[in-house]
Amino acid sequence: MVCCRGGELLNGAGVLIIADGLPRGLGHLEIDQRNVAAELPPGTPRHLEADTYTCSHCQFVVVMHPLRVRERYKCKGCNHHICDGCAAKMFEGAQCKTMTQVIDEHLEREARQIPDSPILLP
Amino acid sequence: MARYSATWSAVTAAALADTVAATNATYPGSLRSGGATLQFKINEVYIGGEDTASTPTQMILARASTISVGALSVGNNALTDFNSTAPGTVPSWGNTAATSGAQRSATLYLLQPSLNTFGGIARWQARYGEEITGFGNTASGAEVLLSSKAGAGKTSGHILYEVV
Repeated sequence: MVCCRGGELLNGAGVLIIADGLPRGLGHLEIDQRNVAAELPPGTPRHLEADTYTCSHCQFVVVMHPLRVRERYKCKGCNHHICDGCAAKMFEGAQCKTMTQVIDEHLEREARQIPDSPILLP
Repeated sequence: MARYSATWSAVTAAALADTVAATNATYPGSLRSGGATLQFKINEVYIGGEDTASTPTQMILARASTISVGALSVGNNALTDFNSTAPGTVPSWGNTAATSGAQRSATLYLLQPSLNTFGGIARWQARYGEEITGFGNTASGAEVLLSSKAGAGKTSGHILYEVV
C-alpha cells in the first residue's frame, strides 16, 4: 500500500483507495479582501480560499472548514455528501431524496397534468 | 444548452429581512425560472465590492419562499455565446419587479459570501454536476435571489447559469 496524499492510498494493483471519507472534485469559494483598506474583524482572513461541495438533498453549498475533524456525512442512499442540516434530518428518520428527484417528480407531474377542463367542446 | 450571464452594476444593497418582499433596486437581483418545466443551473457567483469606505456586507444567495410578481428588470441577462440559439423561455433576471419583489426564505439559504465591499471580492464556482438548480414556476424552487442580510455594500457582479 503506497500513501499518495491525505486519505488516498494506492494498493498493489494500482487501485486508488479513498480512506478519509472526504469529498473529491470540489467547488471553490474565494473571498479576497487583500485590497480592503480597513480593519477586518479578528480572525477574518484577508484572503480565503476554500473547497465547497453542494448538498445533494437541499443544494446548500457547504464551505469546507480545513480544521474540521468531525465526520462529513455521506448519504448512503445517493452516495453523496450532504450538509449537517440534512444529516440531522436523516438521523431523525428522513429518507434520502435528492434535489434531482424533487425536480424529476415536478417535471413528471407537469407532463401528466390534466388540462384545467377535461371536457372538449366542439 | 444555452449559458447566460446575469449581471448587475453598482447596486447599493439595503439589509433585507427574511420573508419580506425585496425593495426594488436595493439588492443585486433575483433569477426567476418562470416556466413550469424550465430549469436553470447556477455554476458561478461573483461579487465585486465598490464602496469607498469600509462596509461589511453579508450577501446571501437563497431561494425565495414567495416569488416575485411582474416583469423583472434592471440588470443584464446575456447569452455567453452570442451564436447560441436562445431557448423558447429564458429565466427573468433583475432587481426591479413590476409588482412585488421576491421574499428570501428564512431557511433555504444556499450560499453566504460575506465580504467587505471596500474593495473585497467574493467568487464561488460549482463543481460540475453540483450546480444550484431553480425550476418550475412556484415557490420555493422557481426563484433564487442574491441580497444582503446585513450591511449596505455597493457591488457589481454576475451569476453564470445554464438553461436546461
